[in-house]
Amino acid sequence: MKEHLKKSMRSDFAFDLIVNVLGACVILVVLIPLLFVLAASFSDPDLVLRGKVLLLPKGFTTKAYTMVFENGEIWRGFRNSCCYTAAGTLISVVLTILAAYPLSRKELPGRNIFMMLILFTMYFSGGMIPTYLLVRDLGMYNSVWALLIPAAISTYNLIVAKTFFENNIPGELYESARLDGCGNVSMLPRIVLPLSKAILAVLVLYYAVGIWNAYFDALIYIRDTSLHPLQIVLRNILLLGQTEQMGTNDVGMAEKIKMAEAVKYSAIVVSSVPMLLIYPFVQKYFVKGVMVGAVKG
Amino acid sequence: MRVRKVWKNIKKNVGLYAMLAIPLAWYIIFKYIPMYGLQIAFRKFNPTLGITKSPWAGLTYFEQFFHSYYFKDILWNTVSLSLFTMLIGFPMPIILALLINEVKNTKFKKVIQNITYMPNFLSVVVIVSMLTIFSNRDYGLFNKIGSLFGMTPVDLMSKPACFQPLYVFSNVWQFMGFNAIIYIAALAGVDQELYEAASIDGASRMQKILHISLPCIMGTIIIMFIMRIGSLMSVGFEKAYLMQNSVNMSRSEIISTFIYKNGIQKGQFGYSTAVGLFNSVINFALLVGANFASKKMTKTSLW
Amino acid sequence: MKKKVALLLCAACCAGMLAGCGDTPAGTPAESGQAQKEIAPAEESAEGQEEVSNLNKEGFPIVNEKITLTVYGQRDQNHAEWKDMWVLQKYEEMSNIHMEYQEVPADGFAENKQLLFASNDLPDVFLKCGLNANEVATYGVTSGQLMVLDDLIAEYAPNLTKLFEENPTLKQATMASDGHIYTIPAIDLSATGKMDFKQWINTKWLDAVGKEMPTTLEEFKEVLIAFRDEDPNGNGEHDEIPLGIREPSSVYSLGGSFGLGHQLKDTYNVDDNGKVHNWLCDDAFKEYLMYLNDLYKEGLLWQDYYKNDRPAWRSNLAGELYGAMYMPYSDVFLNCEMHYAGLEPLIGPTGEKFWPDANTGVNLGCFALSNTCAEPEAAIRWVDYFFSEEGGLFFAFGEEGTHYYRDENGLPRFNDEILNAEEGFMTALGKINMVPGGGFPCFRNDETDGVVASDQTKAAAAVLEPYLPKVYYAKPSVGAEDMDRVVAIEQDLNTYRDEAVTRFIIGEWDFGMWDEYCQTLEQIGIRELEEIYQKALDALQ
Repeated sequence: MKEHLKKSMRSDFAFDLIVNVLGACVILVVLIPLLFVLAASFSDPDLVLRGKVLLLPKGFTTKAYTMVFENGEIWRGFRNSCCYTAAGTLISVVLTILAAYPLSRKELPGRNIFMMLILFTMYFSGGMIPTYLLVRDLGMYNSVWALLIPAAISTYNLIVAKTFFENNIPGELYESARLDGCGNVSMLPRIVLPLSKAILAVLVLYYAVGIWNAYFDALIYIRDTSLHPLQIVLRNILLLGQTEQMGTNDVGMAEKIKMAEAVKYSAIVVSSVPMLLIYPFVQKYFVKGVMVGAVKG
Repeated sequence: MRVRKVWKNIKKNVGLYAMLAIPLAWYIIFKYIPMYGLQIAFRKFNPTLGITKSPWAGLTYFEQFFHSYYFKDILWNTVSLSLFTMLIGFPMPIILALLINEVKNTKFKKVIQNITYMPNFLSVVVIVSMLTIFSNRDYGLFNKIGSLFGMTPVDLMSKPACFQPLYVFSNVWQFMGFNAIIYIAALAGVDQELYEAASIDGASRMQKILHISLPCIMGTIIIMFIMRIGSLMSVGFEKAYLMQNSVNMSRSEIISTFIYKNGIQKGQFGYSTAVGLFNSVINFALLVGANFASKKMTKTSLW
Repeated sequence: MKKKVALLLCAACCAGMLAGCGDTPAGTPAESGQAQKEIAPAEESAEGQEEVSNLNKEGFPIVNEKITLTVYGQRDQNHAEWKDMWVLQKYEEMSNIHMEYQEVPADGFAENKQLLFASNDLPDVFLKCGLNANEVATYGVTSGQLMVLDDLIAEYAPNLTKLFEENPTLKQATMASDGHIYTIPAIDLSATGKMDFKQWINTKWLDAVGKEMPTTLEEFKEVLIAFRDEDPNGNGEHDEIPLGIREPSSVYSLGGSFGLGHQLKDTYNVDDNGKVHNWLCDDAFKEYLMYLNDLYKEGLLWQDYYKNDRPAWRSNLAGELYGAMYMPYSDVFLNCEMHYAGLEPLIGPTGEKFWPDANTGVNLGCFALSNTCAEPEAAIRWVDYFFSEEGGLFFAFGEEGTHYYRDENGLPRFNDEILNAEEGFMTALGKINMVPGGGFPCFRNDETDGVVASDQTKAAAAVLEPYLPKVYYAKPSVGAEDMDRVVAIEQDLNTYRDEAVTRFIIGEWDFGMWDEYCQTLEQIGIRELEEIYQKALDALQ
């Protein structure tokens, strides 16, 4: 018996070791690319180009950040994206809750039909052209609304929220509220929402990240460069190789392109930081929210 | 009598309907009205005549697509990319979740979780530009790591053969942690007594994973799997589009990028809508099929 | 009978126009069978009558009372906002026509333009939209969203009409397949505009390695090898790139040495009898690819040429790393342009000496009016000014004194603060006019082409000019019935061609694949395409 226990403990120890080593590997794999970008953003671009930078900055400089901050377009995009994200998240969360709460009420007649109607749109859509024509007919073209309204609800998020309400708000609670004379509508702010901080955190995070990172709708619907979100500006800099326009003279081109290489990294960092910063704040609720909301899928 | 009861029931819930009306209106306006535009696929679209008055084109556009020289390539690129993404991308979060579940030290557990979530917050634009930077022949991270193992440096982004691996593994890298959450949640719900009973029976940790953890989250896995099948044909357009260049085109051209380039950039609206419709129909058929099979075999289903 | 009807209609049109009814842009509808496309409803012509009295047929202002037109177009990254652009502001004062600009950044413009047409919510004027033949056929000939301009041009565009009369080929190149004009092009009749790419060689490096200007392909290769091995820039590093080709679509420049023309601005030859031939499957092309493959293998050709990496290209260019290369203008390597000179066409295996990369001088689709444009006459007059010599100069150089001065030869030169502006010449120019990015409907001649062509560029063009093809054909517009086929075939053909050619050159495909490559091209429909173009070209003759 003792022998047996000893053996199992030894194998247990080995198992733990393997698990921890694997865990460490996962962390490394995820972190190395991020650290590289961070290190490169603080390094002398020349050393980056020559491949001397790995995980720690070499030839420390903040010049790249100065350049990013001095760039009017990036700043404007940054401001725009902040506004869009704030407004869009609010609209999206409200609409999602307005759909998820009634649909979570099991006694609502016809809720399955509504749910089917909604689910169907996950797999069938009219495609880009009819949607574009619609947005234009609604007069949203080249306005902020085109970024906020047509993509306001994500059906996936709606399902997550609905499932959360179904599983977390016991039916008896509704019953007792009704006995207290509380209507179906006022139950939402009085009973449901106070119990749903976790799912609100999930929705806020999902939508905020989605809106912050979106670039495609802006490409299609926004003509005015002064309304462009950060991702569009970023795409121009990072992927279309237009960084040279930030430079000044053709004569200094080689120098500029080298610098542009460095701006790449700092631009990535600057654009990603806001979302990474939100996360810790909502994290407390977040993990719980996703877990409970998602169990049923 | 029954009608009356239903009516009463509806009346009782007027408030809920009023709430639901707003998002429902949104669904009708932004999802269902555009579906009406799908008929462009069967018409020779003429903007001055509008969608409903343009002359019929029958199945011309579908034929044009099926007969296109690149039809087979594009279809294969789409399907293979999708399968590849699923093959690697689907089990990885499950494995990660099982791994995290086995970590005893709660602090370390948290660290792993939080770090693996991080890439999820990066945008496609950022991910693709990171790929481009890392693929660079002279200073890219991939090549630097590769050269440690004695590989000759190549620009991975311009190798058609590298497109799919880059796409798939960066996807895994980005979403693994986040997609694992759902399984971690399911694992947390497993009855601890089952493990204790197994310990008494002398089961090893590995055996417990295989015979308790995995079966217990099987329901979640199957549901997730069916949903994945339903989107088999719609692999991320934005990422593929941004990763495309003239050299890797032979592998990176997938249905959605094809639609975008021919339909939106060149103005062949009927044609691209037809291709899109074809894509949706296949997706839908796959979803229904997978759900049916799952219902038959495992009694788990979406509806 | 038919003729009579047409004549009558013409007369009616003219009469109508004289009476002030300018809204008859459908041309001679009886002939084209598009009578239903008559755009002007009856009640509008009454309105038009007032309008025309507002319009002056000559001189400035164009209209007495200020009118407003909406203008849609592509804004180059070097442009200032259009409403702030000097030329446009000044011209608004002169013409009394106010423009409301809806400019779209170049990134995403292609999709934006198509969707705009799809929505049929059109501006009055399309400016710098690069409407290609397919788009003219779809949105002009078929859907009638673009206005037919024939009569408007005849009536209100004396400068353009004069140019068309003097150079009938210009008019021909502008016409759509139904014989009407839907768009107004940019016209470049300068010597440098007769060809796209010029062939440049680094003379400083030639001296450094002690070689003469190469005249044949073999000599050229020897020079390139010397550039590679002998460190001509003397920095001790082997960073020289002997031959710079910018991107996959410009690998055809050197093909002239193998007798491969560039007719129809594509891979075609047209013989003396007007027979069209696409040479993609010819043995001559195979030989040419073998030559390029050899250069690539030897490390003589820029190894990254196929990546479409413009920033890298420009950085190499500005760093003077190319020995020989192809560029239309020297504007992006002004810093080292004095080291580069034009190189004559190289004599190939068959003894031919010929530079294929010709231009008709017409840059299509720069200006168009929508069928909803309320003031087509004023709009045509607006654009016509830029086709006069005075207007062309005004557009390209701005105002004498303020922006330019005349040098000893009487040629306009930009003032120093523009040419050497701290923010860069192109950005400075983009505040004055729309020259950066090109595609503005205007006229350019030897006097005004200096806005983009430096003296060095002019010299390089002069070296090649004698070897240009005698007759040059633009790609003809095909009829509506062939349109779908052309689009479908070219889509597949071009994708496959770019991929295959690249693979042959960089050696990913062995030339044993050649037969398979030819078969695939045949399968895609290269011959059918040839026939369609033959038909369209014959129709023009």
